Amino acid sequence: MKSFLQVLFSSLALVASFLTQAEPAVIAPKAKDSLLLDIVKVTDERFVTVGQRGHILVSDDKGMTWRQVAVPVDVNLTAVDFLNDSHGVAVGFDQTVLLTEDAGETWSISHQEISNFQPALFSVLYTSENSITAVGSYGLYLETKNGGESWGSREVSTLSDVYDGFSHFYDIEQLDAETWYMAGEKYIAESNEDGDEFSKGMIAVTKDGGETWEKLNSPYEGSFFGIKVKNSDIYVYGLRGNLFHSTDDGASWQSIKLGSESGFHDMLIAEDNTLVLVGTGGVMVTKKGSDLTLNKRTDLKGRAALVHVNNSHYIIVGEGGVETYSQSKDKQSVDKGQ
Amino acid sequence: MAKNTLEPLVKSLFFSKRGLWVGLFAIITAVMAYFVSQLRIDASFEKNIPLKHEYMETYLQYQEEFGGANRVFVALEAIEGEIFTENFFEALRQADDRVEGIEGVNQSQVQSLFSPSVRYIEASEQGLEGGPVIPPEFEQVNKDKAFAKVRENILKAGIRGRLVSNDFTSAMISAQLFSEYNDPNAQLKLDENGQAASQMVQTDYVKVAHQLEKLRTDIEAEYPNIEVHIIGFAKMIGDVSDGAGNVIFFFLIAFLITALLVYWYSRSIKLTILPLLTSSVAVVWQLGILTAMGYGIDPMSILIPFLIFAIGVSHGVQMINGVQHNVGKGLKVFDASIMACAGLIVPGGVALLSDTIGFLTLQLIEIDIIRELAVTASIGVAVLILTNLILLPLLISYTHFSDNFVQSVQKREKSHEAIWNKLAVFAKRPMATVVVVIGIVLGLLGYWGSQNMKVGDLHAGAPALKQDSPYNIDTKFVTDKYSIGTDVISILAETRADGCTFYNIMETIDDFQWQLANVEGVQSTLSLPQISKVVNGLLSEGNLKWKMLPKDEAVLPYTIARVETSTGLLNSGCSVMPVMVFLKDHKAETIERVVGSVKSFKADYLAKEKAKVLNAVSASFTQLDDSQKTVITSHLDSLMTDYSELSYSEDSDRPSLEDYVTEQLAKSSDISAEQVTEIEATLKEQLPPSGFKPVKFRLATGAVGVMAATNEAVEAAQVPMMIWVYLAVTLLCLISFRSVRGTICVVLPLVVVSLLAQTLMTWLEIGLTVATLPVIALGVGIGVDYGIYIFSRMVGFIRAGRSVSDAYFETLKLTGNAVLFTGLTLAIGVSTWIFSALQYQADMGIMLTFMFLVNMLGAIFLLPALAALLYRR
Repeated sequence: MKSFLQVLFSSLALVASFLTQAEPAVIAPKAKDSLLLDIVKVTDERFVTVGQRGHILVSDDKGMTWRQVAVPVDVNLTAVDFLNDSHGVAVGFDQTVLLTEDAGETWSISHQEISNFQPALFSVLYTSENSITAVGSYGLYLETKNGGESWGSREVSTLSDVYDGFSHFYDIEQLDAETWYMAGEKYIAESNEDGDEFSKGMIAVTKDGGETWEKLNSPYEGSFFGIKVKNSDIYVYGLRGNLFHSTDDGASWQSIKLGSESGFHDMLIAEDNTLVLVGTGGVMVTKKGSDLTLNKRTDLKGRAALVHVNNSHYIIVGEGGVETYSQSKDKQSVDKGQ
Repeated sequence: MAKNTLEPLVKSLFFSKRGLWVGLFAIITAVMAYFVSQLRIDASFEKNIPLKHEYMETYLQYQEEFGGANRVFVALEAIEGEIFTENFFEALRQADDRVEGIEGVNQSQVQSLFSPSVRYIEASEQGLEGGPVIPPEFEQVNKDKAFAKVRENILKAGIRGRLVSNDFTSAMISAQLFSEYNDPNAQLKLDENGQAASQMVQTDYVKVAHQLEKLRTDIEAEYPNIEVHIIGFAKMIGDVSDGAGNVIFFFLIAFLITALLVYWYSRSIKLTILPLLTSSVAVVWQLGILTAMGYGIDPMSILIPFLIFAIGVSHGVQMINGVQHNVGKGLKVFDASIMACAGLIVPGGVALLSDTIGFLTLQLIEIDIIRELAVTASIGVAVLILTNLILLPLLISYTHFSDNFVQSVQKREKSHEAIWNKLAVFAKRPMATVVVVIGIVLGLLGYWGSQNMKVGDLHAGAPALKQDSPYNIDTKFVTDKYSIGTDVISILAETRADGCTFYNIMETIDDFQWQLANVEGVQSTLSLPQISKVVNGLLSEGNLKWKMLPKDEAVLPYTIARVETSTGLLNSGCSVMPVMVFLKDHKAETIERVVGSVKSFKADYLAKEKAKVLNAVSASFTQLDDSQKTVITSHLDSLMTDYSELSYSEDSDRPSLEDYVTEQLAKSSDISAEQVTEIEATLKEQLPPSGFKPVKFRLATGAVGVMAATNEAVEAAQVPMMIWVYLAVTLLCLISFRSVRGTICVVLPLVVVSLLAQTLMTWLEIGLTVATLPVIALGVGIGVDYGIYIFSRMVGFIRAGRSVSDAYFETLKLTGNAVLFTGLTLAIGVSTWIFSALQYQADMGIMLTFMFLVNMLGAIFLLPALAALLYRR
């Protein structure tokens, strides 16, 4: 982890006089096997995944075949979200925001700030026709209220650490129009006179559509990579196999043991409240009631995100590219996507 | 036929003192035989590669630092189940120790699960943790637990597919060989200055191969559940030189068949023994001279002595034929020998000279092994002039023929006349026209077919060995089970000092690697930026969203601080970073695709880098008019191209672009001094603080890097070589026949056969390689012999006023038997190679057999037909 001072220092030390221009992503046969970081279901048939080097791939057959589309940037893309079956947003490094109006066929740069430092966007919410909110490294909070015509970034001072610095915002999730949640890297929550510092994984909530944010009570001193909400259930997960559950809007948390030490990168809550988590070392944990099943990629390549297709079918993306996954009662089978 | 003017000379010079000459030959042969006993097999890796090729300069420059192409892999396979048994690890450790103990192995570059440099890293709440793949407590703890830990560490260390097979059933030891090393057995010697003299000795690959083979048998005997697979250049050379020994066997068979044929032809034991004897003498001389000159014989040119033997016998047959013919006319053996010698010394000499020149053209190819082959062959053929054109008739002159024998010769010659009569039809129209048309059609077909001839090795595994040889089965094992193999090409990214700490440099290398990873036929790739990404992700608590090259130049060095030079991913100054590209095979197309991709990346990258500077600079020249701008821009453009080719060296970095440009522009006339100053100022202002320091990507090291260079060298040499061979053959024909038409008659059939030979290569999937390239030159050089023998006689009859078909008939009477027979003996001499265990010998055998036989047909049918059309009055 980088300290705030280190960050400040390096951003000052480098004069941005000869910066690389945005270059379009290279269309590459192996894009679907490269590091992919997020995936979204646009319609029952169509899925869109984003990842390194500006790779965006679309599938029109539930993930069986994938096609890389042209993208005007080649930075790492970290997250993707769709408002409806046509309008979507993808974000990534260099504060890049890409928009599509045709279900992911073509993308245009809506916002980008190239610098020698690493202000990256890690998560994005497309909440209404005009509103998009993206969060990222070192407390980066970027929003538009006019459908991407102009973007503004602001410091959410209520979410800073004791030194008024910021750690990384890793995930932003929506419960309803006004209630959103955020999870992120551990931040220094307290320090005493002896110089001892006490960290907490960040969890935050807004009740007014992002105008004001407040931290929630955090049960863990390590980092959270993501947060998921469904009705009154809130789940946060992160480093070292940690998963916490709250039913009282974050006032109290219960740790859920999943029998894995791997960091979790993504999670989904199925209709029957089954929890499916994926993460480091290629783990996939399914928790149905009190039944736990653990599946691991044989090559231990990390799994970054997953999406539910139908029944027991999932599409998972990560270090090994795209894979389709079928889970049946007794046996599991793993197929690489075509 | 006119009386030969050489007869008196030949008689007084040689035959009147024949005892003296034979004695002299005997003494020289004895001396040469002594040298032959000292002959050694001499195989070296460097000899096989075009050392002056651009790629190979890179190879030589970096072979010590990054290891060249000269690696051996020893893979242990658990026959049942996975490697995680005590038994297997014991065997692996033993094999590892044994490999390290082999002389010539670079011990610091030996890698296996047991190497301290093979480590894993992982993220934890405390930051990064790491350690050796086999934990120190391995010996004590519960074995099942320990093996589970090792398996996990293997994956974390990213060595699955490299040091452990993808399915965990095999683990390997990878070792680098020095091409020469400090002899540990040598006594310390001091030089004149009192310094310890270095005792460098060449690595003996055959010995290394035998030690590896011993390792295999020992391990497999001690551990019945383990199979050992060994690949690498040294092992291949060992197998090749073992296989090359079988050549003796093929030689014996060829010798026997040839002896029977010569007996059938000569009907005389004496006349059978003599040409075989003198041809053997030629081989002894050849090998003796070679040894005396300090050469050894390598597994490739080991075939050449046998070729020389075959050529010798074929010329010997001409001599026997000449003597018999003269004896048949009623001459005494002594006079018949003089006459045959005088009659054959010119055409035979010209033919052998053209062979020699054909071989010497191979010197044009800058690959030592081909040059040595050329030297070996040239010496052999030159020696034949002495042994088979002089010694042979001298020896024959001692023999006596019974009257019966003389009569039977006369009878046979008569009986053959019917055949010659039929053949003479081909020297008469309309048959001649038909034959020429067929010749043209074949030539065109040959041309069409030769266009598809492939360069390089067309099959997987070691091309020198058969597909089903143990070595190639081992190669298949390794390429199937691992993500790597010996088919690796490394491109070296040369940068400024501390290049790996600059984001734009690392990004360029990363983009480069990604482009190559996507080339068809590439199995996997490896380079430093890849490690940086993994570590950066780990530094950020293993979050995959941070698994990227850190743009922050305060973080970037931190991500690679732990990468040691022994990984082969960077040099100590961090200014050279290899990009390793592992290929699925080493077919020429695959190599060309990869090399093409490298070249196109370089071109695109340089264009982009230049455009950045030019855009920045030209934007600030607002006060200049367009023509001035164009002048300056084009100057800058070409200067930046030159600048990008400058070398980065360890101690002295390149001059800055602004200094370089200022210096160069000062020399040009169309730019004023003020403008130069202004350009310098603009560059200083517009260039980034790190300056214009483009990455220089240099091809190439690794086994495939060598192949790429060899393929390019072979392809580049092919056309000039053919031009020289044909030029030499044409010139010799012109000089000896003093006739343009005659030269055309002899040379055109050769061209048709050359083209057909290339078509045959296409058809049989024989690639143009170091082994097959010389064959084409040899085929032409030797193939011309028939034409010379036939035409040198024919031209005499034609000039005496006979019709072409009459002249041809008379020629056939004189030499027809011998020509047919020459073709047969040559073809038999080389055709036994087809059964060699070594693929390249088999290929050479097929090609030479084809060229010898078809060239004979060309000389018998096409040559007289051409003459009939060209000499009509």
